[in-house]
Amino acid sequence: MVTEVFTPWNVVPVQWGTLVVVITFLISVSVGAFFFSALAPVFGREKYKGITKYSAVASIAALVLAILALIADLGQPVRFYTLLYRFNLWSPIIWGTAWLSVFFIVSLVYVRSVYKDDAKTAKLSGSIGFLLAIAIIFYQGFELAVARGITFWNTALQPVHFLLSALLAGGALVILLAVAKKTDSEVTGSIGRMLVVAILASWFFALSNGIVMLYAGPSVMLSRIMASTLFWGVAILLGTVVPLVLLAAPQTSKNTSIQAIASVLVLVGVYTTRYVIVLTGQAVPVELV
Amino acid sequence: MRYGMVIDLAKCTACQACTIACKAENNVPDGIFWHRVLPFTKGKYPSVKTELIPRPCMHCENAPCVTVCPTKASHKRKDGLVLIDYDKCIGCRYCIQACPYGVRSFTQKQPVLAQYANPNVKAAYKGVVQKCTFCVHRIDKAAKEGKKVGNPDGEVTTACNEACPAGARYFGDLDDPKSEVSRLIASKKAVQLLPQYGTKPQVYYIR
Repeated sequence: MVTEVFTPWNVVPVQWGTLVVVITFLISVSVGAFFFSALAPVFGREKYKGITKYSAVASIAALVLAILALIADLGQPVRFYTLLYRFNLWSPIIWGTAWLSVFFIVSLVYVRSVYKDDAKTAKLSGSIGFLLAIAIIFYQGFELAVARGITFWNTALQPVHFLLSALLAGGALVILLAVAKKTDSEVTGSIGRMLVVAILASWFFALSNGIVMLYAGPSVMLSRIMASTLFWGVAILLGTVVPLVLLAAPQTSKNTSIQAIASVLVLVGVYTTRYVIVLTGQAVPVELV
Repeated sequence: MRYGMVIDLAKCTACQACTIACKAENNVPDGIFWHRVLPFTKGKYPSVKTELIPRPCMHCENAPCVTVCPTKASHKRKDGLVLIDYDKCIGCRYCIQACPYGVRSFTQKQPVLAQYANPNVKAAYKGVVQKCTFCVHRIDKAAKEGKKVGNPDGEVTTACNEACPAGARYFGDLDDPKSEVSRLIASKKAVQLLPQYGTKPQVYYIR
């Protein structure tokens, strides 16, 4: 994968590299796992009561890792605290910092209430957490979408991509945890069917974005992705086609081991897609004329 | 007051004197260039055209780097310059993603200042973003000494303008209709780069 951009007489490194991809992936996992954890206490879907607790823990664990990695990725990580008193309200990074911080506190309250079987607090904190999770998804989408020079990122569909990634990544992790905890295959199969719908939706949005980009004229970015075996082989084939078949086909969808394998592939697919989007977006020389 | 630049591409020979003058004047470290002359080639042989575009920071009116900077380290001054306060920068590199002209650079390594380093310029350090400042130290010094800033209608100008052997570069106040830059923009129909992004750059080109 391209890690440098060649401009004559100089080579410019890609500024948002693997660590940033990992950060956004962990945030997607955290937000997605929270959605599934909230299904029982917030939305009353009693069928998913069994997965509530460990999904909540997984969500907060991924969030903590994401925040730590986010601070570590900064050029001046020690100055992170300055965001508390000096901030630009127009910057998506400020929205993200605010919502991630509040989401962390709300998640702590939610995890505690879920483990103490406090249904009322769980519903309240879960609802607030759910709204914050949506806000975080919007922040992730806007963070990329406002970069007007990077046509691959500059699409109104960006928050939708992040929503679907969160559902896929979170759902896949929850299935893995559920299979490890020997949860009933009907529950994991049901989440698997949700992932199938999410995969189909992500194909629809990727296709619409791709077709619009195609008609926008010749694009180095688009041609790089079309030629990329990482994208087609890993992100699409292994990451969406194979899990779709495994989770949808009646012969395989009820088997928990196959559900687990499909979930691992979905996680790999979400990560690889994110990697391709973040890096390819930057690895294109600026065209001034 | 809006400082801007006009670059006459018909006169520019792409000698890179401006690129090197900038590096020397502003203590720009190894591997980083604030100013570049970039080639853009269009067409297939034998119908090929190459344009050589000197590219400083555009100091946009509607700067996307200022919009996305979380700590207000990137800010727009009243005289139109877009500057970075290194001491406020947290090194998130969001501004680098936001700039459609690719003018910003992240300081990956702690720079070692050369013996001939310019004492008038505060060098950037590891972990922050740096870019062309329109030689703000020269502009501020000129303001203190009561000297006029402009090229050719002034005593003080940017290092890149000063170095140009072809006289292809002009600097001045875009809000002053009598300045050379304003006159050139109007008479030679100078254009901005990437106008479709709505950044309103303050560097114009005569193509």
